[in-house]
Amino acid sequence: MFGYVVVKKEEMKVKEYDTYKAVYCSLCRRMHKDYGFFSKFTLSYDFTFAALLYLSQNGGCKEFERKSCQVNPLKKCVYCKNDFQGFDRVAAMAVLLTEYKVRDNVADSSFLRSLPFRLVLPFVKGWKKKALKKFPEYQELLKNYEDGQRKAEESSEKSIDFAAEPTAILMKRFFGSLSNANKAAEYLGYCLGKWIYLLDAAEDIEDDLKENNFTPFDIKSNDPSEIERIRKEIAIPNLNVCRIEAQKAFELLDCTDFGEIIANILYLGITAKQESVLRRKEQSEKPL
Amino acid sequence: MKNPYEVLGVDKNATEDEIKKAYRDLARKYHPDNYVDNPLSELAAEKMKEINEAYDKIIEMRKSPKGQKSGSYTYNQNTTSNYPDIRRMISAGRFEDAQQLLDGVPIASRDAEWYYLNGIVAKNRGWFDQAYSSFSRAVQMDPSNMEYRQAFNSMNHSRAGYNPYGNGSYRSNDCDACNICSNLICLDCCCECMGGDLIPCC
Repeated sequence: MFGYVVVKKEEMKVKEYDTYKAVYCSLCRRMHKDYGFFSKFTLSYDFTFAALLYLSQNGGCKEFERKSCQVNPLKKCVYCKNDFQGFDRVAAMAVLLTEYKVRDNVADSSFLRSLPFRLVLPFVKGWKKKALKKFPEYQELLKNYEDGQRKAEESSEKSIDFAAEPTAILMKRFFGSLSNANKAAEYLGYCLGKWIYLLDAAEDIEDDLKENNFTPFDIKSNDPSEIERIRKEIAIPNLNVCRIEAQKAFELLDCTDFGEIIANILYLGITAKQESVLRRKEQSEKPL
Repeated sequence: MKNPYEVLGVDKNATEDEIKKAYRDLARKYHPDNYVDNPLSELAAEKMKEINEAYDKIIEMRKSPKGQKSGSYTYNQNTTSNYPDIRRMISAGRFEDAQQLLDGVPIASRDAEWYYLNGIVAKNRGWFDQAYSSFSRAVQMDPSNMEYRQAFNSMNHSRAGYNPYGNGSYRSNDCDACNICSNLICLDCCCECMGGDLIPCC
């Protein structure tokens, strides 16, 4: 995904940050094992969050071990000792979404632009096959997501809620699959999915207008002040609601472990990320 | 039933003040007003019930000579409405059915309450932008209605990125109008729990 769901490192205890890194590395190792060396480059912090959620609902990770890093053999990493089915699921969803993105890029871009994607398409298709063999129920989730996304982009009606819905539902069901259909986890997934979709859309407004791509915002002109108004009056308030609702959902989640790390992400990490992404756009797009 | 001290997160030998503070903090967090238009309202209500029972149990076990009244908070439901069926469905969590009934009302007859209920259903589905527009319209059409205004204000708080009931260690320490207002509302609720009433109209 996009790497928006991050921690605020400065506000974490050192041992919590080390645990967070261990989860990230364990996920990386899992992907290497299931889908090969190159698959781990599709890993992002967003998926690490999903793994944390899984662990928080399933007894956490009690033991760790030190082994060599998969990417840099000279480095030693700390890994979670046991294999968790949740990690398999997260790895599977990571490659499935990558496959969708690659395929989508090939379909939407010109031949030359999409060339690098065309080259990797056969590989990612192999990953998809493997992932769906392990978790066939994800097939329906992905199909609903793709169909919903297409419908939203083809619709003449400009509704943020309508456009964000497929991503929100996908994340809702995905988090449900990681938590035995826990209602709070599902709502957390819904709100976080929506937040991710809207942040990406808010970041890309200028590019989407330039390349005539779909944007969920009802924006009439290329004028920078209009774009800024949309960001301030439409995008940011909706992003804030999604974030607050995600926090409310988290409050109703009983976390056996990793609650503090997840709280850091939902209260501090994503708040800071939202601000930095949109502030960066505001500064880079300012007229000279 | 779970150990009531565990539920409130206090030590068995905690002082009465510590217990009251713990109860107040938890009641703030899981207060039904905070989840009134949220799909997890049932979960929050269960949690609230658990907290109330735990608090009552502890007070009972430590009954003081003054004989304190039971402190549970009961949520008063709105009694008069143009759309009792829709309100019933919302309470039962049947949001798709509620939406169908709402859509069935001709556009010309849609009053402030219609927009308010439409907003509630939208919010519960996660359609926050639509919920905001609907609440906006409801307040515009009937500015004196406290129920609609409360929903609109709560939405505005969230849109401003303000979560007053959030995790204690991450709560902002700003002393601003929002903070004062929500603190007063909480104080009023806790006062009502104890049998008083700080703000009569809330």
